[in-house]
Amino acid sequence: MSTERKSVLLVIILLTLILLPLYSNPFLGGAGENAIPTVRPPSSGGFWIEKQLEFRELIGNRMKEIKKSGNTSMLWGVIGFSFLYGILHAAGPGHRKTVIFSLFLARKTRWYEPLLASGLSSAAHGGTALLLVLLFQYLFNHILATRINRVSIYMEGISYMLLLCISLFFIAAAVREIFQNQKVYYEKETSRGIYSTLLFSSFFPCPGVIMIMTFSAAMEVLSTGILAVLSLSLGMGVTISLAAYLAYFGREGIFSFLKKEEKLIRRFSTILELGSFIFLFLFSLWMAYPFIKGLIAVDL
Amino acid sequence: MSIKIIVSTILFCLFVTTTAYSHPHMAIYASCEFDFEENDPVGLWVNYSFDQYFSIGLISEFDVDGSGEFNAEETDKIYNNAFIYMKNYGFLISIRDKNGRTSPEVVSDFSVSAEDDIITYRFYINLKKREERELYISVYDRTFYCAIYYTEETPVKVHSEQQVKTQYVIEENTEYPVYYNPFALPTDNTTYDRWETGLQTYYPKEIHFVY
Repeated sequence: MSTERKSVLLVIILLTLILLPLYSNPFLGGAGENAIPTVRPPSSGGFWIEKQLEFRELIGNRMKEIKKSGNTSMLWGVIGFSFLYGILHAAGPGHRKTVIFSLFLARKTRWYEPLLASGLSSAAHGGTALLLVLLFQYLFNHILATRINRVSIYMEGISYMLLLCISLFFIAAAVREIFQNQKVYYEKETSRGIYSTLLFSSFFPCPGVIMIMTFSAAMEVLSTGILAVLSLSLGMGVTISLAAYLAYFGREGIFSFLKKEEKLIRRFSTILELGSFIFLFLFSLWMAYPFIKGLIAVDL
Repeated sequence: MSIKIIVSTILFCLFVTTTAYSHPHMAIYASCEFDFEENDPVGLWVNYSFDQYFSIGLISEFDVDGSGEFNAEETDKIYNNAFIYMKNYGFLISIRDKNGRTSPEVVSDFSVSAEDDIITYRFYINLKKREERELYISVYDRTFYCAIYYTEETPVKVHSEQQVKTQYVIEENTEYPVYYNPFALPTDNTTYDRWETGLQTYYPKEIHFVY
């Protein structure tokens, strides 16, 4: 399929999603509509809320100042606080830490690949939100928070369903390799499936980025918003790469511990790969279950 | 060394599953006003002020004429597209008395105002007459989409033509938490009085109002 056709298809999908009655924000929705299916909500507020909100307010205040006085020295504050906000924001759910952790536990990779993969994941997550807001701005010349919210929640649900399918495929492939006795990954570096899985599963908009982009668009400081998003994505990449490197070094550690036991290492490699993908499958199912259940129950 | 890495890996797994839940997307600052008639509260005005991000989104979408205020038509649009949907979430309000918790199904007199680019919603809830002269109000979002705070300055007010003696205290309820089913459909706002397997627990911050 040509790039042009892919772009047209993407726009059609996004526009179709706009028409679907899906929200997650408890305020944004129409009269007479039932609550829409969402992925699993978190089970507590956590303890970084205050700091996150504080950083977000600081970013917003500086953007307002740039708009008001044109004081570009505020830009450094926007970039710095966006980076810190990104670090904290990615510590929350829905930023693919568990996914990346599972993938790097399953595969032996080169040392720099956790960093690359984390960058790709946060860029896809932040970039999708950036493009979504810009697309709305381009199509409607207007910020439509309600419609952006609809698209976002739908895309998040779909991304978890995709992840569910991908992890199932990996499980099947791992089982097939076991039966065909092809299990050699413990000694061979491979990034097979890592980047595509992360790309597919991260292709839903980050709510934090949407907030900043809609804010900057409304304040007519869109380029400042884009810079903030780049910095925020970098911050998110730092947190996500922490998960990736812990898996990477964890795997290295396990195999260095077992290095003299060839039979054991072979068996452990198989268990680790299969176990990681089963974990990924169960995690995706856990997250997507309310969305799927709701989707079946809601009259579209 | 490798043992340390394994341990750190296990710790990280625990970290991921326990702390990955700090994720509100918007902040609400809530306050309420009790409306008294003949020494009894007959209604409750609720005010929700939003953070500047959500506020600017609403202004940008619904203040079509850019006047900085919302006329009747714009208010109607906000009501239909960014307010009434909240009924699926019990308007984020929970009222507790000796019979348990309830959330309002109907609210009235919705209005919206903007001051310094901050949007405030205001609406009214009818209160039924109670034998006991106390009730507990809490504002919470069990999906944690919103971080909700009571306003620091006068979170509770009383409107009465007669002199009424009231007092209130705001504190986290640890004795009577909200139990809810995370597997429930989004349309299902049922809360449970007792914990059962599979239910999650929420400790709301309640306004204990005595009159």
